[in-house]
Amino acid sequence: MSTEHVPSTGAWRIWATTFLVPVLAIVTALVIGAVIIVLTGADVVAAYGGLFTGAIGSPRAIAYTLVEATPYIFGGLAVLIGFRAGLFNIGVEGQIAVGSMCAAIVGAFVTLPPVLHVIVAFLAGAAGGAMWGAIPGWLRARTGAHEVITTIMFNYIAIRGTDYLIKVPFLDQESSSQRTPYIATTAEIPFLFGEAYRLHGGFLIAVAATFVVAWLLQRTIVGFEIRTAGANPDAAHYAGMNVSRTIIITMALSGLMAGMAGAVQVLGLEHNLKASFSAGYGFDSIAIALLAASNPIGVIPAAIFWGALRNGAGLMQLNSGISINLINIIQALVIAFVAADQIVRQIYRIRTARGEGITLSRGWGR
Amino acid sequence: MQTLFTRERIIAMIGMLTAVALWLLVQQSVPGDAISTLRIPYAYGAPQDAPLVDIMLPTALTIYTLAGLLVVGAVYLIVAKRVDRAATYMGGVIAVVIFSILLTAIVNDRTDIVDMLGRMVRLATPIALGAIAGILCERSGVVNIAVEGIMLFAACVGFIAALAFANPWMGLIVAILAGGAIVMVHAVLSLHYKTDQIISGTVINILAVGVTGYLRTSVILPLQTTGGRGASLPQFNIPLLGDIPVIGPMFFQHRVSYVVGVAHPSHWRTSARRRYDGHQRQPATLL
Repeated sequence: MSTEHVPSTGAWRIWATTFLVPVLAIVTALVIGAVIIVLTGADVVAAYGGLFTGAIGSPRAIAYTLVEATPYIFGGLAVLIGFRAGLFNIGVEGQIAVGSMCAAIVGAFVTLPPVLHVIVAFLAGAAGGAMWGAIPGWLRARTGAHEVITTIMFNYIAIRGTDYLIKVPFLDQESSSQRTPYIATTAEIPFLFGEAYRLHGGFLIAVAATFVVAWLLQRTIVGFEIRTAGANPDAAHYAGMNVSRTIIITMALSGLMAGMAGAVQVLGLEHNLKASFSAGYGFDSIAIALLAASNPIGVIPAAIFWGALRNGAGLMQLNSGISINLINIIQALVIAFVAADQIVRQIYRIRTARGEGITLSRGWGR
Repeated sequence: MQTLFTRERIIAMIGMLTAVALWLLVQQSVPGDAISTLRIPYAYGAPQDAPLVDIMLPTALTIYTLAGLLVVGAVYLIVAKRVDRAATYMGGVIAVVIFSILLTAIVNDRTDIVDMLGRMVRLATPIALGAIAGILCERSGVVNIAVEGIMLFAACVGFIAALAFANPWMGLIVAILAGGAIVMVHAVLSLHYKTDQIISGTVINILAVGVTGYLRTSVILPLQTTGGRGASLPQFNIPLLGDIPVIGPMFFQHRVSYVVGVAHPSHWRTSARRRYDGHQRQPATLL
């Protein structure tokens, strides 16, 4: 390291912290993944070729990647809002389950005129997720119960509860598989380029939600209170902010995003709700929020990257015989490198920027 | 309102409602002359051997009695204002509900209750060890949500070692070492690179799913197709204690469950310094 001062503009430094480190983290993780592939004796070119072709090789592959990315955008936003307030929402999985259940019920069992139906069903899903997020927030604010523990427990309740609701009261009797009835066509979020490409309007809602969250956090009083409570709850309290209320609002907003994820999956893509529908969105959402470096706009590329990995994994396995689990390894490495950005900075000799850090959990107690 | 709904009154009400629910359910679904049989075999009795004793309980009458006991306990809680007994009573309510479910499940049938209890201890072993691991971390101020991932990784690597060396003991040793190795990721990330501990825990959890899935397809399945078969650790029957009916099969005829008994007290004795670490990080580093 040279002690020489490199003149750099503020914009460059912000760019470097926001985008350079995550991109290099991804590159490093892919390189290590390649080493693992070589160690197993498989063909790296075939494997990564399959991964990239499957993810972005054709218009249809790109559309599928965006479809995969849609719930991750909402999930990443959900976790990110919590991060900003110093709260760790591990309950995205459960909030998605509740949101998708509410949307599926309103979509299938309520009769409403065309445009109104889809709006009501979507809002029902969002509200379901918000409620499921607000309860741990209330528990945290009122009793001090740590939100990590309560949201994990609420995941179990939500996943087992929706599983029961799908299999018993709301089961589609005409179908042999365990799922709810198809939602009414009036409740469907339309496909953007026809059914073959599967890309639905939920993606546009997700992108819009990203900008709304960015605006909310940066330009509104609620957002300011959320950020202050995250940076220093005591200071927020002395400044006359109602920290308890902020915690509840934050968790409700967080759950709202997760609920939207569940709603668009049901209304836009699946059109019904199957038993064991949500597959590990909770932890992946945490990863995406980290990868986005706590910046709402960054959630979009991070989620698309995640969706691309998921979407390309199938062709990778087909082409090279590499286990699909390699994707999990790469993802874990990406999170590790983004979270421990010192590793990436050491490898690529990037100077440490003086940016605002993310305040996360402060231990279990308190 | 605060004085009306005291804790013991709320819990007593829960108990009484449970008793009423049990009563109604049994009245509807269990025939009055049904018998549930709990079998207690000899310590090393085979399933077909004559049992030590068959406890034949009239299903409905037994559950009515238990429900009655719940009501009596609830009245005692309220009248004597024993808030200190509320937790014990709640435990009793849960035990009664579970036992009643068991009795209704074996109406006019029988079950080997000792075998069930022994299996319970065996299945509780990994959870108990995981909980001890969690307590160890918690006391030293380490947030460890990666117990699941560590277990998964250690189990996978240990199983590979057991297959490769055709020796379960090697598997055990390697599994312990592997658990220690992967937790180094947690240590290095959180100490050296100042990562949030929940994030490094998440990393381990996702990494463990990926690595074990990958190892399964690329190592374990090939090993198994070339004839590798895992052997289990032997069962240790502790002499004398293992011969006692009920208690013997429950606690003294296991493979690894004894570890819980060893691990549990040992960490209490050595934990003073870690406790100090957990409460006061800075003074402890000065020591």
